[in-house]
Amino acid sequence: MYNISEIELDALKEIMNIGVGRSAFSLNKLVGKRITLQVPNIRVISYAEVKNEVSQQEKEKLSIITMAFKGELTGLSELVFPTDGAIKIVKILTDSKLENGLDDELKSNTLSEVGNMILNALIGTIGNLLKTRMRYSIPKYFECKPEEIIDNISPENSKVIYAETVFKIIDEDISGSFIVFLEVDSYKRLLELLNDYSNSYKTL
Amino acid sequence: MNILVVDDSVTTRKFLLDVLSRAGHNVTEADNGVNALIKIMNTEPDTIILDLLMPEMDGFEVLEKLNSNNIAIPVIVLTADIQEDAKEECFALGVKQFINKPFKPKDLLSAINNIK
Repeated sequence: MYNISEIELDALKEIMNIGVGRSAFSLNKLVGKRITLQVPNIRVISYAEVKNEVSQQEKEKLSIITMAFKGELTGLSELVFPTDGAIKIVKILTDSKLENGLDDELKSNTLSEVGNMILNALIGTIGNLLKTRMRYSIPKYFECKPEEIIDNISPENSKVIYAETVFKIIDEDISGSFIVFLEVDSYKRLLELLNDYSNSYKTL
Repeated sequence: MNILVVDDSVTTRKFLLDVLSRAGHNVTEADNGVNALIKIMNTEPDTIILDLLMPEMDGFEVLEKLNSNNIAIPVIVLTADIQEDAKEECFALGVKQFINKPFKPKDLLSAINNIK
C-alpha cells in the first residue's frame, strides 16, 4: 500500500528540489547570504521511525517553525534549526547586537514570519507544480528537544511521506532542514498528481 | 498617501512602517482582517497593503467584505503565498497589485506609485 515506484520517487524528489530551491532563494533574499542545499531525503516512513532518526541526528535543542496545509494534499511543513542558529537569524534580520538572550516575543514573531515566507515558498511551489491548491494554517514557532520534534504533530496516521532537505547558510555556520510530512490519506492523490506531472513533463 | 498596513506579523508591520514612512506616507496598522475593517471605516485610507494569511479574518475575507460593501480602495496584496490560484483569486476580487514576500522595498513603492 505504501510502496512508491522509482519514477514516482524521482518526480517527488524533483518537485521537492524545485520547492526547496524556491525556499532557499527566499532565505537568501532575507539574510543576504548564499544557501547551499543537500539532496532531499524522501521516504514513506512511520512517525516512530522519524522520531528515532531525528533524535539520533540531532543532539541540540531545536527551533521549529511549523505550518500545516490542507487541500488535495494534507500535511505539515517545518523549518528546523538548532536554537543557536535560529537566534543568529533573528539577530541578522533585526540588526540585534544582544549577546545574551533575545526578547522571546521578538524571536517568536521574527521566526514565525521567516517560516511563513520560507514554507509558503516550499509548499506553494509544490502546489503550483502539481496544479493543486492548498490552504495554510498560521505558522507556529516553538522550541523542543530533538526527540520531541513530532510530539507536537499529534498524527492520526501511523505513516507519512517524509521529505527532508538539509541546507546551510554559508558564512554564518547555520544549518537547518526543510521538512514536509504528507499524510498517507493524501498518498493516492499524490500519486495521481505525480503521474500527471511526469506526463506533462514528457510532452514538453 | 494614507496607507493601511494589514499583517499579523509585528516584524513585517515594523518593516513596512519604516519603509513607507521614509517614503513620506502616513501609515496606520491592523493585525488582522477584523481590525482592518474597523480601521478602514474610521480612517478611509488611500491604499491598503494586505496580507492573506491572518488569524480572526484572512485577507480573502477582507477583500470580499470590501466588495460587498462597495468600498473601492486600491489594495496591494503582500503575501508569502506564491500559489498561482491564490494570485488569480486576488485579482478576481479586485486587487490592483500582488507582491510576494520577501520583497524589495523599491518594488512595493513602485507598486504604490503605479496605483496612484
